[in-house]
Order: sequence, then structure tokens, then C-alpha cells
Amino acid sequence: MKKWYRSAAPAAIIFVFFMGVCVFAGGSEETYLIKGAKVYTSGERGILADVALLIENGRIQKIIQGKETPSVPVKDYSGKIIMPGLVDAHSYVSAYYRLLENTEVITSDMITDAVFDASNPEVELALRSGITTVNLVPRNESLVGGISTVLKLSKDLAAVSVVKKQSFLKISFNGEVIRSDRAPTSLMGAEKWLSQKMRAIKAGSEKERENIFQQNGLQSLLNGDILPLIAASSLTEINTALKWLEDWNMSGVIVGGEEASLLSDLLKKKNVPVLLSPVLPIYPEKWAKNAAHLMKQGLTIGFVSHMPEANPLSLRLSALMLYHQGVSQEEALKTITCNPARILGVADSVGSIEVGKDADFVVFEGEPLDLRSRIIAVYVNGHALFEREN
Amino acid sequence: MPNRDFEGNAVKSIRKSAAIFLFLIFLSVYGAASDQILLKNAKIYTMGEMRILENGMILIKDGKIEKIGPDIPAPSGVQVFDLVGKTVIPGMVCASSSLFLENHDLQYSGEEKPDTNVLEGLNYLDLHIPQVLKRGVTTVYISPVSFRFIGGLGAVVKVISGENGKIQVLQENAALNFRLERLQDKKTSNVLRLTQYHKIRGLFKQAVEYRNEWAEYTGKLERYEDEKKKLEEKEKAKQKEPQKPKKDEAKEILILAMDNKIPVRFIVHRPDAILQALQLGKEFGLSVILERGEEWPQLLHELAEASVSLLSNPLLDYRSYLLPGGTKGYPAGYFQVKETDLFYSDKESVRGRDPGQESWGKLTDSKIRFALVPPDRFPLSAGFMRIYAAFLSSHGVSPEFALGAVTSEAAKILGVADRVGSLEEGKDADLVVLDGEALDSLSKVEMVFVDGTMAWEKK
Repeated sequence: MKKWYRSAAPAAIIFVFFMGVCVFAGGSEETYLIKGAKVYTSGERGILADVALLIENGRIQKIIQGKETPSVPVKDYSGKIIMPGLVDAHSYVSAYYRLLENTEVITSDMITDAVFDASNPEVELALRSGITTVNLVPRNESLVGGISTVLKLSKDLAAVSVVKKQSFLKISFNGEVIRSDRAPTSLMGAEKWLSQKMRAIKAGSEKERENIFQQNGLQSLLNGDILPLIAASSLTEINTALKWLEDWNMSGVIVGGEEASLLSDLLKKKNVPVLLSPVLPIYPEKWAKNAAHLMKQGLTIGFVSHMPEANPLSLRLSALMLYHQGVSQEEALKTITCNPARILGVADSVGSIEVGKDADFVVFEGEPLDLRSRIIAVYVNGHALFEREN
Repeated sequence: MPNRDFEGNAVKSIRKSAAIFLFLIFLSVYGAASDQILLKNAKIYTMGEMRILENGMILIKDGKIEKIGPDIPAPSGVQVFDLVGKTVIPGMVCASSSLFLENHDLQYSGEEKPDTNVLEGLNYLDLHIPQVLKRGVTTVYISPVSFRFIGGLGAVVKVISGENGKIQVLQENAALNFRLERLQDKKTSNVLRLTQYHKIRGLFKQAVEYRNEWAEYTGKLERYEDEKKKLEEKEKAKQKEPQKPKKDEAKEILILAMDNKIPVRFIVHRPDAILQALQLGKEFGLSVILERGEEWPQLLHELAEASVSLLSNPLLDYRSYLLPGGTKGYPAGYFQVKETDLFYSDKESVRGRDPGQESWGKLTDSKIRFALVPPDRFPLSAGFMRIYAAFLSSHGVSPEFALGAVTSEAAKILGVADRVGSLEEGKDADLVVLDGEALDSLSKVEMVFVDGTMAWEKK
């Protein structure tokens, strides 16, 4: 106790060093002001007309209403509209063919951030469409595909920042997992297989421990360190997913949810949020009613793109379809910003324009849900990663 | 139309009498509502010579536009709609759709015959019709697309709800559909595409031969008739009448196409396939319409030179068609295509194509006639023409160009511009009333008029 500082000193030095690294790695130390635009905050303050955003070290330092003008460089976006960077909570961007391990049906160990490729043109396309944060997920073809990672997009691999390395364990009860040439060949088979595997791991089976792919993801699921993200679209698939969650006494998130409105009471009771597939051209009307019903029931919903399976525009298009179901534009925009951020558990840093959050935002020419409006600039961590000339 | 075989005739005559019968019902239903209607105080996008009327009026009589202009005196007993703050646009035209068709029934047709006529397979009671109509699309081209290389003859019809089987055909034999590339099918390759090209070319060559054969026959027949007049009665019996070639319905259609009576549509994607379509057009003197043609920006010059029409959409991206799970937005496993079926080598970036935003601006200045088509083949996609036009107008084209691509230009390409696509005197009173700016995605459709009758109204 006497010489407490002896042991504390190295720790303090390391701490200070880390702080330095953090500030340095945080990139832009520059401070600037974004002003003139109308801002959809997706936060508690709603829509703010004519405010200035003070950006410092890649964060929103202050939202200034009124005449106060700090003496920093100014970026003038008068007459434009700013909204938070879009959050795509289910994306295969840049790594579509690398996100499927075909040797086993259950491959729970993989973490997706290993295969993200910043140089892929899809990344630029996503950025140009306003998507700044993605949850990179394993594909639906595996029963347990692996662990998803939340990251910020950048064309420069060194600048790609991981927001949450292990966001979910991806489980699929979707049609794609059922195949005739290997087990499982049915939905009930899939559910049974998964439960059996988890029981074996729980019992500490040696055989399961030997398998290089299978053990740890499911183990952390059983420990409660990670939540499942379950791909389920039809009524039966969602029902199976909910039953399975109940059996294992877990909470989780449903992705797909094309018929989720038929189970909205159950989903509400169990407090299971739903990440919805983007607008389905085969039955857009039914799709829109499904989304609007879930929203009306007070469930947390977010739209995802499954990019590259769907166009990145599909996020805005989906929100637009919801708007035409009688939801206000502000509420509709939340389904592609703060709602998915909350579902992913990263709402403390992304998904809304609020003091202390990351400076990730999109500048539009006009209303964000008017498809005529072009995107003028996209900012990630305070850096303009896309800017339209002229 | 050339002669049909017995069955074809029967079907046609049944269709004709049915059409007359339905027309009578149609008249009796609509007769009561044939009063005049006056729309006033609206911003009108005429899409004709009058361009935009900031505060215009439209007088509708007997389903047609009687008068349009800034000020029209109201006749007595006229029904007046005061549309302050509203916008009126022509009923939109979708240049390619599978509305009125059963679930892709034609796509799997076994026959590969140019005389397959889409009108003979229409589902008059398609439940999708009201859902397309309520979004302001009033005219569609029904595309007989098959996975095989020939689709057949398409038709332009009005989008009217199927009650009582009312259906209005604006243009029969509006185009002859071919597919130069198969994408949504399993196991396909460049070799197959080449085979398809040669099959199509072979068909046209046979049609040329057939035409020559008939020309030869008519020549011979003329000479025979002339000689017959000169000869004596006795010698007449000795003269042998030239043999008449067999009539071939399919080849007659191809001849009509070569005489530019029927335009020819090619579904193409890649630049090499586009060039093949142009080559076929040049060789047989066809009036060519390219459908989809995602890679057109690379061949802008060639397209302008060949003066073809283009039907495309900035949302189209053929590289994404062959994803193993199918394109999202389609139910899982819809196409059932495996990774091994991919024949585009660029596996790493399925959506890597540059969006080419700037290239759309060049289209405005070129001579190429352009209209928008939905990016997929689902019946309800025909309803989103205004969404596609809004998205197109974010690509550096003028709002009028974008709106024209779903109204007047589409009608011109379909050959029905004398009836629909613009709001001008004498044309059909097909129009849409919106609560905001024409292309603003946030504005909503309030009323849809078809042939002067309110076909849909927002409650």
C-alpha cells in the first residue's frame, strides 16, 4: 500500500500513451463547422432548421442554434438537408462470395471483418448511396454462419474502423439453408440439428471441441456473451425462430421478416426487433403493409439491404414505401438510421446526429426520401469520403 | 393480317365477337357517365407542344380531351374539379410489363414461333390491375418474354380493372420480342448466346427466301395469266399453272418486321449483344428497340447512328441477376441459380459497375429515343414508373426528359402517341392528379382518369 505509485506509474504511462494513440488514430484533429442545412437528427431533437454542427476530432462536439459563431473553418450547406449516415444492419458488401463457408452447416467461429475488402467497387457504391455503417454478416446458406461485425465503410482499408467486432451470431432458418443435397433438408431438421449441437456443447462433448469451426461461437451464445441474429422470412420460419429462442431462453433479432406482421403480438411480447428485407418487387403492397403494421404495433424495425443482393438505393426506397403508408418522413428515416443502430447495439456512436456521437452524415440536395434529390456529400468520422463535384 | 389456320381463325373470331360484346357493355356502362368534365386551376404537364401550363384547364368530353389551355369557358352542366395546388400529368405508359399475364406462363412457353400473340393469352381478371392503375399507370405494353429466344408479338393495352372483362387494345402487334441473352436461366454461356443470334438470323434469312419464293410465284402467275389471254382455247389446257407456295404465318410476321410494319425488340445486356442486335437490324432493315441494354453508355455513338430506340432503367444491373440466392427482393431461391452457373467472370464485385450517373445526361443530347422500363418482370413493378422517373432525374437529366420517359416518349416508341402519352386536344382523357410536384416521390396520387372516367380516387 505504501508504494502504490510504483505499480500505478507504468499503468498510468500506458494509459496516457493509449489516450494519445486514440486521439491520433481518431484521425482529423481539425475542427470545423457545418452550417446552413436543415438537419434530420433521428434523435430526441427531431428536425432542426438552420443549425450549425461543430465537428471536432470526428465527433459532433456541439449543435449550435442561434448566432454563436466559433472561429473555425466553415462548410456552408445552405438550403441543403442533412441526415445521419445510413446504417445497413445486414450486408454482404464487398465480400459476397467470401462470407459462406461451405464445408459444414454450422460454422460458428468465423468473424466476418476478416474478409472485408475496402477496395471493392461495391464499397464506393454503398458510400455514394449514403451508407456509412454496415453490419457485415455471414450468408443465409449456413445454419450457423459465424459472427457478424459492425464497421464503418471506407475505400481505404487502413481507415476502416470496427465499431463492434462481435455483434451477433448469425443463425439461418431461411429457405436458403434447406437443401436437398445435404442435411438439413427441412426446417424442423434445421432447428433440431442446431439444438442438438448446442446441447452437446453445453454438455462439454469432446468431439465438438475438436471441430475447428464449430465450437466457440455457440459457446459464447450459451454463455450469453452474444445474441443471435436469426434469418427468417415466412410465418413458419419466424415461428420456429421464436420457439427456438424460447426453448433456449434467449433474446435475439429477426432478419428478413417478410410475414412478421402475422406474428406481431408475439414479437412484441417477447420484445424481438425485426430487420426487414428491402421492398419486394413481387408484392410491394403486401410488403409495405407488413412494415407499416409492425411499426404501428410499436415494434422496433429497421430496413436492411442485403447488398449486393439488392441495390443500395433500396434502403431509401423502403423508407419511402413506408412513408406512403402514412408514416411521417422523420419516422420513416429512423428505420434506416437510429433503429438499426439501436438493434445493433451501436446507437451510442452512430445512427443519429447528437452531441458526442460520430460525425457520420449525408448531405442531400432536397428531401432525403425524394428520389430526385442527389447526395452531395457523405461524411464518415468527420471526413468527407464522397463529395460531388459541381 | 395474313391468313390464319383454322384454329387461329376461330380464336380470332371469338375474340372479335367478345370484343364487340364487351364494347357494347362498355358503352352502356360508360354512356351514363359521358357528361363533360372540367379540370381547373391545376399545374399541367401536357408533354405536348404546350409543355407546362402553370394554371391550366382541361375539358373532357366523351372520354377524349375536348380542349386544353390556360382558360376555357365552362359549358353548362359540366362537372367541375377545382385542383388548386395540384399537378396533372398524362396517364403514364409502361413500355414493358407482364401485367394481364398469369404467373410467367409465357416465359416457359415451349413454342418458338414469331406468331405467338400475347393477346391470345391475357388474363382479363388479373388482380394486379387496380394496384398498377392507382399509381397512375394507365397504358402498358404486354411483353411476351420467353426464356427462349423468341417471345412473340406484344400488344399495348389500357390498364383498366378486369370487371366485366373490359379491356382496351390500343395496338395489336406492337412489337416482336426476341431475347439475345438468357440470364435468368440455369446453365447458360457465351456459346449459347451466339447460337441464339444465329437462330434468329436463320429465321430472318428463311423469311427472305420465303418472300423471294412468293415474289417469284406472283411473277410467274402474272406471266401465266398474260399468256393465257393470248392463247387459243385448245392450247389453254396445255399451259401449266405455276405452283402456289405454302403460306407460313410465322414468316409473314417476320416479313412485316422487315417492312418496318412491326418494330423488333431485342432483350440485351452486354455490349457485344447490343452490337449483335444492331447488326441484325442493319442486315434485315428492322426498326430496332433495345430493351434493358445496361451497357448502352459504351455504345452511345453506335446507337445514335443506327437510330434505335432504347428502353432501360438506371436501376438495372445485370451482374446482380445471377446471385446464388437470386436478387434480393425476390423470394429466396426464386431463380435457383448456383454459383457454378455464373458466366460473368467478374465474381468479386457483383455490383461493381460504375453507376454511370453522368452518362445519362448524354442521352438527352443524343438522337436516341428513350423510355423507362421496370427493372424486373414482376407485374406490380409496372406501377412504379414515377419512382423510376424520379430516380432517373437524379442522374443529370431534366425533369421533363425523365417525365417524358414514362409518358410521351414511351407512347411514341410503342406507336400509340396518337392516343395516349400527352395531354392534347383529341387524345384520350387519361390523366393523373397528384397532390404535389410531378416527379416528387413524396407526392401522392389523388385521382386517375381513364378515358375521361374516374378510375381511381384516393379516399
